[in-house]
Amino acid sequence: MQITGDLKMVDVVQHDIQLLAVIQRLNIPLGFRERTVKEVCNINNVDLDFFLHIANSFHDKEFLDFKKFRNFPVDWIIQYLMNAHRCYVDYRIPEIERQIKNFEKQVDINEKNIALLLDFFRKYIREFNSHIEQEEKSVFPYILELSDILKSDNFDSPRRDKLPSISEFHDEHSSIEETLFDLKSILLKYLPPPVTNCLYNNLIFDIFRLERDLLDHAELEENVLYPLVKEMENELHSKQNLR
Amino acid sequence: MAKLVIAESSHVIALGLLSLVKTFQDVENVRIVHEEEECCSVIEEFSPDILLINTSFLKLETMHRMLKIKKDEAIVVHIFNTPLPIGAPMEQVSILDSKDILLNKFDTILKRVRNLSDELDTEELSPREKDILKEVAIGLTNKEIAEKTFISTHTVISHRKNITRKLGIKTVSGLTVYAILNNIIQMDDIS
Repeated sequence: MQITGDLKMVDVVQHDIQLLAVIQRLNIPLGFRERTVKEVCNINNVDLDFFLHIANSFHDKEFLDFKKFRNFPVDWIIQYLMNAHRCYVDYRIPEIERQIKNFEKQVDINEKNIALLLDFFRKYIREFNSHIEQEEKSVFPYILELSDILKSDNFDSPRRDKLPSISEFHDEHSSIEETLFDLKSILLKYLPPPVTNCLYNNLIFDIFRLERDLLDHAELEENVLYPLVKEMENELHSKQNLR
Repeated sequence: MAKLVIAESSHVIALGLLSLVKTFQDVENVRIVHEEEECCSVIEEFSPDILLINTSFLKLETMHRMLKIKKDEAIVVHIFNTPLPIGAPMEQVSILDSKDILLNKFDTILKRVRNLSDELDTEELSPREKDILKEVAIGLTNKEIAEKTFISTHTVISHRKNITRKLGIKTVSGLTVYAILNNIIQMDDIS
């Protein structure tokens, strides 16, 4: 289904509940009543076109194509990604950690296992946080500066200190994905369930959901944002050469 | 689990085939390619186990190139836009085939893929692999392991690949957790 402006927002969300995440990250509150997507976007000062592009890319991977995002200011995409970061760091990851910790209280036979798992997960959180920090402290500011420079007439190269190349970022994404993948394998294949199945399953569901979400997130960065940045870099380069 | 590529210029036929193959549990992931130029790069990156290719879709040279880059054991199935004689082999399907015939053919193909992968997957680690895992889990690098066990770094790497494939664990910290859970090393072994 292609999402369009004249559909009712509530129908869109009911059709694909995953889109709730998109709506939340664009700071659109619930309580849509009978309003259409267009009306809801207008009320909340969200660009309709931008919403449709993000929502459709999220809903149907075939739609995702960085060329379609050329017309939007790159800071909109960055703001969206940063809102997603907040959601992971402030809520999703602490929630998984809390669940693992809870297991600690309920069992003693497997205590060693739980400690091991917590350790492993904490290591993952550290890796994840430092990745996000680097994005927010050096990659995103670099991109914003790049876009400012392109808008102005002053084509000096942006400060590019401590910024790894885009391809290194790609590597880092995959290492973060691998750790989460391993956590899942260990839980499913090798760890005897320490507590009531229901709690344990809940944890596994949460990890799967986080993994899926992070994959979508990485896809937006790697297949939309980075190609756009490469285009911007090329544009700057050719403008500098012209002078 | 099998990965599949459908190379077909007709949107409707590609989607029809997709909905059919998705009914099989063994089919893990499907990619559809509509453009001849994309075909080789998709196959290279996705490394499918089964390739469904319309005979009118690829030029001969692309076909040759594709046969070279696909996985050795991958099965190529040709899609014909014309009717096929009764008893045509499973690697040939026609867009005019009935649902039963198509299901039968795909069933045979997927069984063959399953047999192939069964041969590759002996799940248990060999004693040698356990030794290597032990060293990896306590945090030695490939080079250190090679020196300690008198084998080449290359062999260490190939052991590690097999370990990862068998256990489904990719990172060193994940392997450490596995090794402790299975008493291959003790908690005290890691500093």
